[in-house]
Amino acid sequence: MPPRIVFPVLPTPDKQPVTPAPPADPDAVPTLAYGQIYCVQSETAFILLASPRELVTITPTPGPIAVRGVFVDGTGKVETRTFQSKYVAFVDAGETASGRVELIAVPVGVADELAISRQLINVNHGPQPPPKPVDPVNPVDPPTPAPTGFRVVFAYETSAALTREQLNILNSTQITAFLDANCAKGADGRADWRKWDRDIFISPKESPTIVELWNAAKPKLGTLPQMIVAVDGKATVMDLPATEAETLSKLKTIAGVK
Amino acid sequence: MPDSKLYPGEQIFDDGTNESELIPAGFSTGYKGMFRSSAQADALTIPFPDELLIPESDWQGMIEEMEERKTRVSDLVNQAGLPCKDQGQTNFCWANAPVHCLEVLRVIQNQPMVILSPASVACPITGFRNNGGFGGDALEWLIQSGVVPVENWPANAIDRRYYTEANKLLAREFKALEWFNLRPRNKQQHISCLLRRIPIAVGLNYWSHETTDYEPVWLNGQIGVRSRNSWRMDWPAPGGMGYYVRQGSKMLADDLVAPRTTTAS
Repeated sequence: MPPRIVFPVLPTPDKQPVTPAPPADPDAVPTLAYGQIYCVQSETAFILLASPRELVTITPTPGPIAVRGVFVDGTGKVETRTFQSKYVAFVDAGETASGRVELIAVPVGVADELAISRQLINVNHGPQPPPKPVDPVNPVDPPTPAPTGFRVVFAYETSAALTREQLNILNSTQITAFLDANCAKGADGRADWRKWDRDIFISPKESPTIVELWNAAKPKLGTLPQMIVAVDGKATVMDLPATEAETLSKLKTIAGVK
Repeated sequence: MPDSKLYPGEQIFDDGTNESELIPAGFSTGYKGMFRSSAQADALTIPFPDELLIPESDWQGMIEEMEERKTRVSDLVNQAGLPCKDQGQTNFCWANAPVHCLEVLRVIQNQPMVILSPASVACPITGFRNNGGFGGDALEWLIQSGVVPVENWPANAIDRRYYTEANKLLAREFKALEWFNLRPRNKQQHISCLLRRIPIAVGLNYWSHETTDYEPVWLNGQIGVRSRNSWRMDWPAPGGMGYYVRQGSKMLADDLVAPRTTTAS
């Protein structure tokens, strides 16, 4: 008998009333919104995975545990619940993430595929339309319209296992000094470059030009870390070069600085 | 490998440091221990993931590399000119250290440098009393309510007149968005988190004090941790920068919270 792993039972989106009532939509998928609490529990140890992994954060914790908040399968108001199982995992939707995620619960020491449980959920607004076909003239990354001037945003995930060299690139004082000297200046007179976690929350007080660049290029972000580089009104998303020296060299080339 | 170079005025706390040297006359501390008082503490606990652990065999080489290439947190902070905190006569070290983490994150993210008020975090938690506290409680406040800039709430002002609706709204521009809670006295997590350039607010039971750890160092053939105190730039010596190093039995911490993303504002 495989161990029992319990996912929350969630309502699926309402359909327009039709007479006669249609059969249940087999493709209907429940939704997890940012800030809601989604808890998976089991009496036996398990590993919870998400595919793709970027849209949600999974936090395992020992049970029983009492939690107060808004539950995905709750009333929409703040409630207190106690999860009695010995093993518990919470799933949090990224604030700006949208898409469909498959949650895969794998009991520790599993020997039978039937013991693995799966659950599809939509995160926030659910799956987004596929990206437009790739431009055959520039198949790597067609540029996105952007504010004029040289601007850079490094996009990364602070909970990801970055490599040693990626850490050196992202924390390079050589690169930050170059960007300080060469990027276009924002309204406050400071260089318009940023290093942001993909799930950053942006205040209305942030530089409008850098927000415009981020919003335009963010849908094109792929596997992080990457950098969004804008020059001459066009933004390009690109992977981090292999080394700090190559990154600096590439930025100089794009900015037209020798 | 050559030893890490110390910053001007930087002092080493190790097994030979006397307890009497830890708190010079005229300075305050305030860390009460590793236990968090909030009922929501468990729900807000994000453990440090095992996949972020860095093997001990890599530590020495990584430290040397980040020093040579100036990719340490202290390099970025010094480049930006961010000063250390000054908790004055308050017992709010436990708020100063997590708030300083947010200031450091703003440097890393290249947000405008804004000096933030630890009193705006500690006062609502203590009921406007000059009490000691817990780094975890300060982090919880930073997550849920944020912190007010010193321009709007002086750093050490224990004064209800600053707890206005306007300041509550302003604090939302300066919140901790993502964080880790590290296990107490766990060297593997502690050093790995710092090698990943995530600053940590560390509570130290032996000192009843909390400071902000920046990065690991290598001195006299062993690992240590560079930290920044909240006792002004001229501590531990005039001309200093607020940095000190902990080694040996003084290195490990009893309460570790590590904000890793802050609001873009």
